[in-house]
Amino acid sequence: MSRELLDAGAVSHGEALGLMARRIVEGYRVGEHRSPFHGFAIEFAQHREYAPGDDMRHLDWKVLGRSDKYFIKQYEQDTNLVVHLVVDGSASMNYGSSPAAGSDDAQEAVSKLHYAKILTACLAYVVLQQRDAVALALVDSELREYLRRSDNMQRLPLFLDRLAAFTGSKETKLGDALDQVAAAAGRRGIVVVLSDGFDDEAALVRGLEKLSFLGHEVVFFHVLDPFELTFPFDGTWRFQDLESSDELQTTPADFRAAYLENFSAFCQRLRTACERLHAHYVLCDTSRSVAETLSGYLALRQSLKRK
Amino acid sequence: MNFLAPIMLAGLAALSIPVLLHLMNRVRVKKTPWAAMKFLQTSVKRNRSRVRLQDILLLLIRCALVALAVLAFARPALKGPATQGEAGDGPVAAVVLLDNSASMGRFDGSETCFDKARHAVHAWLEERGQGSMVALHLVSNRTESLMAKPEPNLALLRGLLQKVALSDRSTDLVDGIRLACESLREVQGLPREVHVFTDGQASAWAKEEDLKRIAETFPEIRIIPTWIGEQSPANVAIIDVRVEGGLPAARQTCRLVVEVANYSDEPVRDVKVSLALNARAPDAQAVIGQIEPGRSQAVALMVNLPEAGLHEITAVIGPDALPVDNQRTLVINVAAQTDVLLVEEDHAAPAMDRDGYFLANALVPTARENAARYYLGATFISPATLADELANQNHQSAQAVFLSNVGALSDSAVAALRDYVNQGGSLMVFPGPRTTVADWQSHEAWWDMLPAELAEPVILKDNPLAWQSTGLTHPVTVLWNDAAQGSLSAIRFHQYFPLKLKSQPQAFEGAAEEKNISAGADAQVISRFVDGSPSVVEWQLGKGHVVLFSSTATPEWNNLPLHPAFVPYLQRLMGHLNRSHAARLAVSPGSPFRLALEAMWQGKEVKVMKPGAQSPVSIGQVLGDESGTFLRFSDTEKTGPYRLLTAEENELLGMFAVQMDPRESNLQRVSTEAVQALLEVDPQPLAESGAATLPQVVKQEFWTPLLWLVAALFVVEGLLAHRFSRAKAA
Repeated sequence: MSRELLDAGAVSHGEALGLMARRIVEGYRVGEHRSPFHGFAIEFAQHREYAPGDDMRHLDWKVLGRSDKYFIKQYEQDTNLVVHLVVDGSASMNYGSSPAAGSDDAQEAVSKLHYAKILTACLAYVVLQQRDAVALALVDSELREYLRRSDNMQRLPLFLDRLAAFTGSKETKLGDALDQVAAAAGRRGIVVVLSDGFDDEAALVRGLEKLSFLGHEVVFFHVLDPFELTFPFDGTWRFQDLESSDELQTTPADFRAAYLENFSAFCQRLRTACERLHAHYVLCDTSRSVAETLSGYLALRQSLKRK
Repeated sequence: MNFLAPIMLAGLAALSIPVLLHLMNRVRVKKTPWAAMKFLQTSVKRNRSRVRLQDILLLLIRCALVALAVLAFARPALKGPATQGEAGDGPVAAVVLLDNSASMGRFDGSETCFDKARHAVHAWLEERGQGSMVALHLVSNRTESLMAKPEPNLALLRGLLQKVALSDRSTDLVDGIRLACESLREVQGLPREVHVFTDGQASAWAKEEDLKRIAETFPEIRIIPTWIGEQSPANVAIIDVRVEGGLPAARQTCRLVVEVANYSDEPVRDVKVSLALNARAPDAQAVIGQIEPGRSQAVALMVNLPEAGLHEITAVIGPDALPVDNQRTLVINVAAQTDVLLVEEDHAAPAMDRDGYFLANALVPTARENAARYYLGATFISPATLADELANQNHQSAQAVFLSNVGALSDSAVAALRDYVNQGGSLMVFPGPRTTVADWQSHEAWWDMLPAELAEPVILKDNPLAWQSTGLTHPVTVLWNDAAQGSLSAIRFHQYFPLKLKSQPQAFEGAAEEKNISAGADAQVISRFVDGSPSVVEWQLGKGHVVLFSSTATPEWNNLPLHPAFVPYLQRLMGHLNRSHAARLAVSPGSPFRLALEAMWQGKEVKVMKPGAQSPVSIGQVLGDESGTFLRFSDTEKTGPYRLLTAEENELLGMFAVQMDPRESNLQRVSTEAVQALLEVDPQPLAESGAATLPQVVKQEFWTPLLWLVAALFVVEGLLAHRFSRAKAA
């Protein structure tokens, strides 16, 4: 896999974001694999003439053998898969503690939002590449922007531009935002939520429940900073809350164990809630590369599909 | 508390390090934005107080670690003056004081305390290192130097130890210790010690102030007592033998009292006391039923005195561990016949009206036809002839002179009386109607002889003043504490001269050099009126006594001469005065005996028969100087009777007894702690005064337990820090 360039500056430009996502995805060779997002039964519906760029996996070799012409099989559900990408842009997602892993010259910390954007871009690329539809929802305290689904790769730059320009607000009300996504989503598909989950847990879980009850397959990418996961601070620190004006001065070493216990329990609760909803819970440590996170999850989906 | 390395205390400044580190951590604050605030806030809220407590605990432990480590390196120690048991093993300059007083003669069945002490000194000498210098003194109530200054020749010292002997003296170690310290004063270059080998008798250490003063004067010299023998052994001793009642007279029964003391913790029963006259078989015996611990009991024995002259009377009790005090000898001078002079103004008056009538009958209480054979003879004289009569050889040795109702005396009479009293005579004065206070007072020499000042006579016609009859303490009157002897309360005075005791008599010529004669004592009261004022007083003047009555010797002013107690009162008074003289026939061990002799003996060779000796030994010649002819004998170390004989005729010149100090019989031991408290000195006052400081030795160091404490705290700190950090760690 090639090393990703997770340049924080690049994330703010759609083109650069697309470039980055493509590099990541192609580096993973997602395109060479069967679609990872395959949650539904697909039946042959009809043929259509092959166009450059079509997935060669759908080429009907029998027809080619008989007629010496290239035709693509179309399935009944082929155009029904919609992946709704929901990106949390609340203030807490702006926290980043360290450069991405493997980066030599990163000068700025990679924020969770930054990470989520890249991951979203990669996912959008993957989905569009397999001719499925992608919808994009940018949320913070509410559904900030919703880009209707499209299976046209030509629309990807628009998605990426909106994604790159999204900065979010201070507050998080993810539960309310997910309700709005549910309403906007329409027919069922896959809803991928990328968030740190620093919100009213109950409301968040209700939001996920609602999506699940509406027939959507829910995937929750829990994007977290390594410092939030390990709390490695030493000495005396004054912590300034990103979402409020609260400050707390303390010696973190004295409270590390208690914090980690608390935080771990929080993650576990979300995981448990996802499992209960038959949703996928993916812990995303922003110190790990996006490719690693993405490949890890896609491999999981592949393995689940085989079962 | 002292510190052997006080410079290390500067390390206490390191105490600031953990504190500064603690504070610095709080001062250097870094800031960061934070997203997961609610998780952090919850954790801090729940654990803040516990964490604070842990921080403080660790800070305190770390500070304690630093402090204790610094203190340990500073080597705290307790210092103090070196005491017994801390003597170094190296050479010393020492004075050994070996107690050879009478109490060291107590026997435990195998050896005496004195022998044990000698062995102990031998053993101590063996332990002395090469280069030690030792002196040796024998101490009792005097110090006898066998080796005056510390010498390195310890072999010579060991030889001297073989020849030392026990004495019968009492114990007073203070002078010995002082002399020993002074002899060590000039010694340099060696530790200086005084070792006292003694039985620890409490009376020997009674002079606490003197001992403290010695310790303070010689702080650099260690005084180390060593107790010999068992602690406070039991002892029963004869502490007194005395004549009771009147004058001992030839062919008269003499009442003797033997007093026995029980110096033990248990009562003693059936103490048999025997009395022997002139070393014969016991003439009288008695048994004391029980003597309580720490008390004494007296028993009276009657002995018939066969003839006049000097006699030795020895009282003996059963043997015990200390034999020297189980017998005691008294020498008495038995009178064949002796004179009393009765001085009265009016010889011509009818017999019963004469001022000396009642006195004469009381002093010679026998029928006239027997008076010549009575041991006491009364001679009437007048004040005018008093001087001549006293100059008369026959009357020079008169037992007593009684002045009854005399007026002013001539200078010659007063001078004669003064000489008489100085020579040992007893003067009894009964003032009366002829006595004018102003006349007496104007005669200074006479006034100074009297033991009290007379005031103008008091007349009590209707309410005469009686004598005190209870709580009598004087030897003359103590008999009447026993109601069976009658009461003195019926003796009434309707006229008398009030007496005011004199407290500081003038010094008189002829003050005795011998210790057995006291001179210049304050006036004593023999009898008192019921109101407490003195009625009969006495004091010693020179070698004699003066007794002053406050009223007449006739019934003119009082009923004393008519009272049944008058005769025994006078007899006892005579006996009391005689015993004062008899006291000159007893000396303490080591005290010289002086015997005044007639001029004819001057130059004669004299021998002495010492107690227990088989034959007499020559002691020299009778001496004479301006004070008279006398014999002086000093070798009185052993207790018992001494006979002084002429060398040629073996004629008895004199006899006396050497009697042990009764305090020496009390073997109670003083506590070691009490003695150490006297001998140890607080160095601070000495330092302020600039005197030499006492050599300080380290009594105890504390760095070892401190380091152990530091190590323990180090472990505790490590465990706690690990435990606390594990709790904090992810």
